Amino acid sequence: MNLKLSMMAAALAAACSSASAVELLPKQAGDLEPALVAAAKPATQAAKAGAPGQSRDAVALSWASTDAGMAAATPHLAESRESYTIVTGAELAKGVPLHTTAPRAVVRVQAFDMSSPRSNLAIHPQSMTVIDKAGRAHGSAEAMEALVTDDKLAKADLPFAPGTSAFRLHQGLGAGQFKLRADNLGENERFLINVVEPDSPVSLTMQAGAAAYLHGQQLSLTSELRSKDGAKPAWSKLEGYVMSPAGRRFPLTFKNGAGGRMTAQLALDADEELAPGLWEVHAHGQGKARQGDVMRSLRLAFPVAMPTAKLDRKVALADSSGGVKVNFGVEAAQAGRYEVRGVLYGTVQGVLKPIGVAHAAQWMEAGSGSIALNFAPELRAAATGPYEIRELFLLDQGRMGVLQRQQRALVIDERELARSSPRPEKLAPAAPQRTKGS
Amino acid sequence: MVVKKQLAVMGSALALASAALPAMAGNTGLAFVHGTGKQTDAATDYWTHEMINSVRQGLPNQNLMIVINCDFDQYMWTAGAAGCLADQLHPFIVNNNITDLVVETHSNGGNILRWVMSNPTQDSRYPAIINAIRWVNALAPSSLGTPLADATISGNAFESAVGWLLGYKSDAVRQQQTSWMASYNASWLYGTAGRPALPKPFYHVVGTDVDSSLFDGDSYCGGYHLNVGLEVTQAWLNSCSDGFLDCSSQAGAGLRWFQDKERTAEAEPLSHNQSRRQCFGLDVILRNDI
Repeated sequence: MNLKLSMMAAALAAACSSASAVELLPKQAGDLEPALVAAAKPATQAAKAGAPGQSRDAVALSWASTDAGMAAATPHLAESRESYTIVTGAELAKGVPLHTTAPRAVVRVQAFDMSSPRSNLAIHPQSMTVIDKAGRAHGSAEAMEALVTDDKLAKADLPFAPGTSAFRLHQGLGAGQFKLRADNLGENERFLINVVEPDSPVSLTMQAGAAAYLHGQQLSLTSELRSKDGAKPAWSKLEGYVMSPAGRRFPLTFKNGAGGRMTAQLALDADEELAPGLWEVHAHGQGKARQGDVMRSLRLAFPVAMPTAKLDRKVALADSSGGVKVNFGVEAAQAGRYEVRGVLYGTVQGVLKPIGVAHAAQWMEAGSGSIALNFAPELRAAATGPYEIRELFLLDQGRMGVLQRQQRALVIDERELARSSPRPEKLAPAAPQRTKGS
Repeated sequence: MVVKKQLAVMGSALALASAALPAMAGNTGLAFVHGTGKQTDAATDYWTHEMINSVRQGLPNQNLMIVINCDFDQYMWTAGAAGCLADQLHPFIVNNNITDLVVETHSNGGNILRWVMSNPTQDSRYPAIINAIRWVNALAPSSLGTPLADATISGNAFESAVGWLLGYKSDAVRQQQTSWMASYNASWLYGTAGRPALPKPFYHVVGTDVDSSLFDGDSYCGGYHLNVGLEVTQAWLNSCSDGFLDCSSQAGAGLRWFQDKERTAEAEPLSHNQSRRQCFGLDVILRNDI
């Protein structure tokens, strides 16, 4: 069966006498490319619920797009002005510290005990006491504003867990270190204390070195304690771990880096049972700012894929009745639904500009094959060569994997294109889209 | 096998060819796509019949309207979310010869629609849906996620660090965390800054504030208790928010249509719950847009 398909493919290739080879540009900094291909482990039954539907139909689409950006794949910068701490009922009875660096911090208290309905364990804000720096105890009337009980949060249809209540520290209390006290709780009951400081100048930031990773690559993280007031907060500690979608935990060791930043590296092992979702860094930092002690917690998500397929760098132009059709060779380690997508740039009044987007996806068995990216003829109407294909992606649709990304992928000369897909004599531009202003 | 493959290729070619064609003479339709949650009667429970019946008056044929009911607690790419949307929208388009479809989405419903428009090759029905769309009116879309999703997931993550063990009920919330949406916007989704444009216009409507004063009747539109909760959750958000989403998230993808106060009656803000209800003339604005 496989042999027959290979023969058919060879015959088809021979028949396409108009096809001409072009070269994929060399990989540049920031591009993502697998060194080798490797199969992914199957998903567990439980994890299959989060997987995308998998059609076997080949589907392709192109459309005009003149405002496609050329932004590099900048990794997301996560920023936190909040902290999370887990405390027990016994600790709350003694008073647990609340570190704030700005007035009006929001305090969320969430009951954690799984042995009884959590809504029964919710602490009403009015039964909590805030103790200030001088040791004075303040009841809810003078210490809190905007109290929300768990039933109000539930009525608001918000996704907070049952047993969650919240309040805002009163403006008059200012900032600094306080204690939160609550009585009549089970000693071993657990509570999450979430302190959010939307008005604080001090934040914890974290950024990965790349927007997407592949199995075996090195995750690099950079973290910083920043202050809007210009002062440089000092680190006391930063600790964290990486959690994979399947639940494996990898500890991180942060080291002092340049400019007061902290950095960490981790070799990514994504060879695990497939589970939907992203990898996450969970980090907790402490430091000292001009405003006092700072506590910050942060999570940062990033994708890691098994390199189930790669572009084999064999690229050929093909006839598409005046359009731009490019066959990309794909080497797959395992069967799956793979997609190639890219943005076509053309020369418009001497300037290279985006003119259209094309996507093509199909089911592929393990081995070599190709996926044809076909930009409709009308997209060429307002442009001439040279053309470029940028933002080229190879995606594993079924396993939600970003396998390959190349910012500048291909340069296509007008004469080269004319040999495989001559420009029609009459080429109408794509019909303008109806917009609210038109 | 060969025939099937040929049909698939034909389908592909058709999709390609028709993508750039103008809408042929056909019918104008209207679709309502709800946000996070599993809906079985979104017309009653999510939008309200007052809202829907008011907006549909803008249709030449008021019967050509569909209210989507799906399980949008799931990740946007699943068969239960985007797939379910296609299950309902595709036959509606085909059976009624809809060539001019206006889609009203709310909150995470905007992400589901954006998933379909950004990933047209995931499902052979998606190109036909995209071709039929005139534009999407994304009411308070969570395009860049929300810190509130981070906060709610953080509470649960301490109990069970493995996301999917919590069950898919939390998946949509998990997906709407800010760094998760940043990741999906960077590779799988279109329409945000620096990314290619979506194949059809995606207009956002931004809610900028929450009014929950007991003495202000406006607080009661959409349900007073809903707005009280939202006023508190504003603390997690920037000064411009609808109580669930920062304005920057709502305006993070697509084209600007309007901010609430620019068009609503007496320049009232639309809280996150009010932007799906018959509040301050929103229904009339949407009706006149059809």
